Amino acid sequence: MTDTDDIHELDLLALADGLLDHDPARKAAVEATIARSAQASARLADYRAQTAALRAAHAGVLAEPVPARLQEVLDSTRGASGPWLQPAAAILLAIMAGLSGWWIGQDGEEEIPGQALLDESYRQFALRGPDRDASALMQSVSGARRTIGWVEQDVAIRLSAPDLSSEGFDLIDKRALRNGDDQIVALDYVSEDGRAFSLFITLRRENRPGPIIEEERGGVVLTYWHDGPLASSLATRLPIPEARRLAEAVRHEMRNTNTTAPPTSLEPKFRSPDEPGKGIMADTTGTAADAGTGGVSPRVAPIVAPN
Amino acid sequence: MRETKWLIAREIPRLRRYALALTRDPVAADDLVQDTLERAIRKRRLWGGRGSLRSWLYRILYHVFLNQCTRRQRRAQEVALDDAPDPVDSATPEGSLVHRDIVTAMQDLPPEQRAAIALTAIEGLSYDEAACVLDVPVGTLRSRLSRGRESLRETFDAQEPRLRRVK
Repeated sequence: MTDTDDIHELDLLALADGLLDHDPARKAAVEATIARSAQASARLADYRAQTAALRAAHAGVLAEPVPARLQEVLDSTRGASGPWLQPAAAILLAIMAGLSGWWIGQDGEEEIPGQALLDESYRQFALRGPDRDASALMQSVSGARRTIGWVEQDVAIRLSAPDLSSEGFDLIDKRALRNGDDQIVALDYVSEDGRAFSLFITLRRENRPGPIIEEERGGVVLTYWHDGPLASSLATRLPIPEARRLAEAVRHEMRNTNTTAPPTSLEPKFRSPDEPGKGIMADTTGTAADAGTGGVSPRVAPIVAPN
Repeated sequence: MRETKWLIAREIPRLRRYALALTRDPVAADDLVQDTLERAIRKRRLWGGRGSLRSWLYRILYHVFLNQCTRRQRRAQEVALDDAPDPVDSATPEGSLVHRDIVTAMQDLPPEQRAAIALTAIEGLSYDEAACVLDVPVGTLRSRLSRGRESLRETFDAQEPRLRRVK
């Protein structure tokens, strides 16, 4: 039941904008409440008049022909001419054996930081987060030591799994994900008392750090931050304060253990994944077979010695 | 690539409408859309088929718009005092009686409030979607909407949309 106290100005706005149309019960409750208040009714009328005027004032644009210069923007770009497709900016993610570390790489600039990673983190966590099946979790502990590796093209940096034992969490699984052209490492952690979270890491171009931001979707708390060449997100069903504390702990651990050791030594000695170096595994999810597509010689740049 | 271009092309009319709501000026709006399209093509891998293309394009457009606002502000600050126009005397009839149609009233709002209202009232995005486009929490979006709508109530008169005395 909705009483007057539950009706706020934003309900008026939502009603005026038609955003309650999909929720007839709420819409009826808001309308009934507003009808009892002359002030609220006047406000709603004003908001509706604004919305109607705004839509009317801008309605003509949709029917106008698209100016040629805008269409030309799309027509003039050739498929393979952009720098985004140049071989040197190609992608690689290689995960090292065991817990010793892995390499991760990606091309592309980051225009809208984190949203794609957050979206994929949420999707992955909802699909197969570590808290979905506790029994399966325990069985998969050995999975953490399973080698996951795929080698494609350029490697940028190498990193190690954050050790969160001080927080009571053990790494139980890690896996490599593909999301379009993006490549993400997913790490699942659980604690003995049944708490769980997944950590998702991908590479970014920019080096400046950013704050930890949070959002909640469908009962899943997502935190995101970027630090150095990595963008990370953490997905969990734990309360927001705990999720934030965990995110801070992860970021702290990743910084302290020099998880990445990148740009200083980013004068990579490229070598072919066909001749994998010490510690590079070729099991798996493996797309090593795809690495040479497009006539691009896949290259791997070992940056840091294994931990 | 061809498919992505086709998908982007379908969004141009909506991008023009959103840009017009932000800038008011049709030429400036098309400039804004053009910059947005160039950027979108250049960065299309960032979309990569995930999520709503429309929202992604709105986001780019908004970022480009904010960058333009910043540059414009900077240029305005660099104008020498001798070159600056005389301030309008609000005590004169011309100063106190101004056109207040909804488009003009929108332009008096701060850009972030204008963008929030345009996305929800004109483009029909939900509050969650609009917050995502503007890269702000939903609470922030609501606050911008609330303030912006209230400002419009003071400056836009639906009964007398063309002329209204400013208090």
